[in-house]
Amino acid sequence: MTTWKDRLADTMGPDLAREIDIFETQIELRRQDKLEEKVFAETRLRKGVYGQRYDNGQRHDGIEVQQLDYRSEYPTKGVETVWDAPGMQRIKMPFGGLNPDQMDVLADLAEEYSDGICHVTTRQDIQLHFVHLEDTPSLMRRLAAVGVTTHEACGNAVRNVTACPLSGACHDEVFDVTPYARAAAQYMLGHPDFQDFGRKFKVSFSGCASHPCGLATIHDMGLIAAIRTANGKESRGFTLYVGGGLGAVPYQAKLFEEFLPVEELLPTAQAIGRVFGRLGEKKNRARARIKFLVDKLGLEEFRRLVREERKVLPEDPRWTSYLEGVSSDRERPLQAPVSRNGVPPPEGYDLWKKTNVYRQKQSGFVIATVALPLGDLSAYQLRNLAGIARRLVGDHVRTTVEQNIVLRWVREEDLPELYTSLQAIGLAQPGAGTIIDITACPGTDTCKLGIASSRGLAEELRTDLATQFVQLDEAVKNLRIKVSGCFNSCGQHQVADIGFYGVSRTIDRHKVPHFQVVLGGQWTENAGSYGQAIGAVPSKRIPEVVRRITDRYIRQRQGEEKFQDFIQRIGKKVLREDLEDLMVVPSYEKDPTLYSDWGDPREFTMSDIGTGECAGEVVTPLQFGLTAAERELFEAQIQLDEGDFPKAWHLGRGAMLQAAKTLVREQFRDVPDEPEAIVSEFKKRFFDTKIFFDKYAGGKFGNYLFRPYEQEAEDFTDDTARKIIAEAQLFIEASHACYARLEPEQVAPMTQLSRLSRSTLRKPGGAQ
Amino acid sequence: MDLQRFAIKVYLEDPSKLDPKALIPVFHRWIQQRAIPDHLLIDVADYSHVPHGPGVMLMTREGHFSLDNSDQRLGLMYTRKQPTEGSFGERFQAVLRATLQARQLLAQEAELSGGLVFKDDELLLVANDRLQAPNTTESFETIRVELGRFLPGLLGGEPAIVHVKSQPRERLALSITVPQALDIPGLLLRLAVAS
Repeated sequence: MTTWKDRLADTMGPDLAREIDIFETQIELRRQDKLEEKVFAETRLRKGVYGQRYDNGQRHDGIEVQQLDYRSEYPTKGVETVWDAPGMQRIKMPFGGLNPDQMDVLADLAEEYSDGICHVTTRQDIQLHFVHLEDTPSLMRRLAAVGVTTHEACGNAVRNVTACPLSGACHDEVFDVTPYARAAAQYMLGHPDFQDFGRKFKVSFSGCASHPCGLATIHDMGLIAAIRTANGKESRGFTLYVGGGLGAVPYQAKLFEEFLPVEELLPTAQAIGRVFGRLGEKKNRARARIKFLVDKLGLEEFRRLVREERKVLPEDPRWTSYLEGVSSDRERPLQAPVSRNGVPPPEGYDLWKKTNVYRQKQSGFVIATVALPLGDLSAYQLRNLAGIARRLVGDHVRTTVEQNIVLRWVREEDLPELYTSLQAIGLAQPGAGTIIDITACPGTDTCKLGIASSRGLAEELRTDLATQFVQLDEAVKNLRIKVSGCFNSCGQHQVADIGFYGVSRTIDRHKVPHFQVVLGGQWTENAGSYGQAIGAVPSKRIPEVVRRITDRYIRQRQGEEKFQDFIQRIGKKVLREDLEDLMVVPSYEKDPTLYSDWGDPREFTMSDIGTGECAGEVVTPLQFGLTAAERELFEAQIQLDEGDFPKAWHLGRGAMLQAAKTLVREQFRDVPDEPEAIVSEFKKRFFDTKIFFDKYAGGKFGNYLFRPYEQEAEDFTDDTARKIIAEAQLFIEASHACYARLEPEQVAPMTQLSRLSRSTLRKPGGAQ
Repeated sequence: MDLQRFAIKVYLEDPSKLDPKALIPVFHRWIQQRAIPDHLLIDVADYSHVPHGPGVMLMTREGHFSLDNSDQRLGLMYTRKQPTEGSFGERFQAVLRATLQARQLLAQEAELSGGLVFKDDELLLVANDRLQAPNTTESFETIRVELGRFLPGLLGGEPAIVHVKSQPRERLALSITVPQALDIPGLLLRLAVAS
């Protein structure tokens, strides 16, 4: 039977193809219980293969907790994660960039492996839900064939690099950040210095300081385009912020550097990655984001460490090689603009144009926003949208952090045709960027950590507000509402004018879904300030909360007063008093409707919350490296079984080299990839020092590595292949034992002493 | 024919009478009652806000049931995701049986104004695998011939099988119609015997 692997062999990049082959082998190893659960969990997370609600094998059905008998014959695929339970696949789209071919493939995948829906996230990713693990390699290959990877979409890695969707076309931008965002995403992907984190790392690029598109201040590393003039010459750079993040404990990013020249962008990111990897928390995941490290060290000390690290980084030509192409990296319209033809616009067009269309700085062109309710669109819609894009804008499509899609470089005279085409596929909703364009995380619909139904609430508010949209006061129309299902803030509720996050309250032993009301967040100026909670209101009463707050705003607004200023002036105390009657919950007997959530008739419960996978498992690069060695050895065994002795022999030898390199990297981070260098460094650091020696066998296992690199086998036979595989097995075991001996020193809990010990072991630059 | 992934859809007689959201409590109750045999019922997904989409869905380990509107004709669709055993004919009959079991439950639902009325002279078969069954005349012919081996006996007459024309990237879809409405309880009995 033909497989996607066969069919696409010539269309995938070799690196991507190899990565996916490795992942497929890892699935097989875990299926056979030959790969540790936590290593596999982090491995799959780094491939964007994420758990989903109820994958722990139980669900409250409204009456009782029902055991879900998945009848799985395989081990778990993560902590409390049943093998056969469907999950979520996250797909990285750097800076939200999409082209029609990619859109077609995403639509195909949604139909064949998922539930027919593509979901745009608040990080410009695409997510597919209800995907089975066995389908993921084929899914990834089909993406790889159109240049898309899922690698490092989840887990303790650099997540999707986001950027302003108006880049290159915005009137207020300093310059187009797209080439820099692309270069950063490519550089950090799979880079060794971004692999040893205790938690995720988020990067964003913004073209200006005033608008919210890049949301720099909520990022681990937020960059805002800047120009410096010296000696009459302008040069490009970025204002760099570090240590921002939402989550349960929101931090505003701190100004790290007023002007970072573009030549320094990648090396500085790398130095930050190294410092975070070396000193960031690894054990306590609740404090493992870089914001806590910056807070703990203080910005000055963090800056000093980064600069020190930067000085000793080995030069990498990729830091600047992409800059040569930046000036020519400019989008070109599919077609030249022409004059209007005077045809009367279709019904609904004017309102849509008013809210969904942005006039580009390039005369005659606009950006049209396709507003997606809850960030969802069906495979049918996406495929047809790809057709529209092909016809009108070519490759100029992007997702946005507001869970929409924009079509760039639309000729102004094509707008009526675009509107009519979108209308035909149900995608011509007006109100983009207004109060009805509500952002929501997945919440209890699919997230294992969700407390309340963020999507249910968002949909209710959207439907309710949409019916009055035309009559709404302009000041209210322009407010932003964002909803998170829990305090983890994936819906970015802190940076909305009106935000909500899900909580629970217990009344007479019954649980009531509530939302904390968060007011006064600033969306503009790259999320300039965060809102604060003023109290929790039952979920079903939140529409009334929105009505009361917006009514008061209309009534008591002074002149052109902004909502944030209004909240500040009125005071949260008064606003809370306005809502207090809504906070009183009648008994279950009096009003049971409050005891269930939006869109879910089951009586509300907290018992469905599972173990989160947002952070992934903390797996050290050393564990990853030794696992890679084992996987290579497994491939050697398969080749041996298939009678390809030369291949089996070389894979066996390569497995040892991988294990040796892994150990060497603990001391010498920049060890070259050449086998001679690895073997030589291993000998110097681990063999000659006897660190690798076994108590009884002495240096015997080390010699297993040296011999085949001194002299290749003269003859590749079943015997020679078998022998090297057996030796490789022992060498890898000895590497594990060596790691275990080093472990108390290197990976002990982060006490002050062990922190010192880690820093001593891995000096900046790591050369010694 | 090695097609494992496919879907079968039965259409509603009068879709205007149904608010798709009315299915949400129904599907939740089905989960409580484990209402569909041989399926592990997991959850309900509401995509009724997406036009031309799968609507309200009942997710199961084996596949999903949806009040589908992706071809702009509302109907109950069962999309099989897990492999089934046997020949193509046996697999088709297993998927058809699950579809019709859900159809019968919906037709008898008191919560839905006494039950939904289905158009029982038409089925849609959607090949959900572009590798094994691309949307081509050749694939259509292969499936049509396969169906021809067992459908007349199963449905009690020669059905008309037509390739639903669409863009090449759309999934291959076959419309199967019979001159008179099928006797669903009788057909379910025959399918039970065949399994």
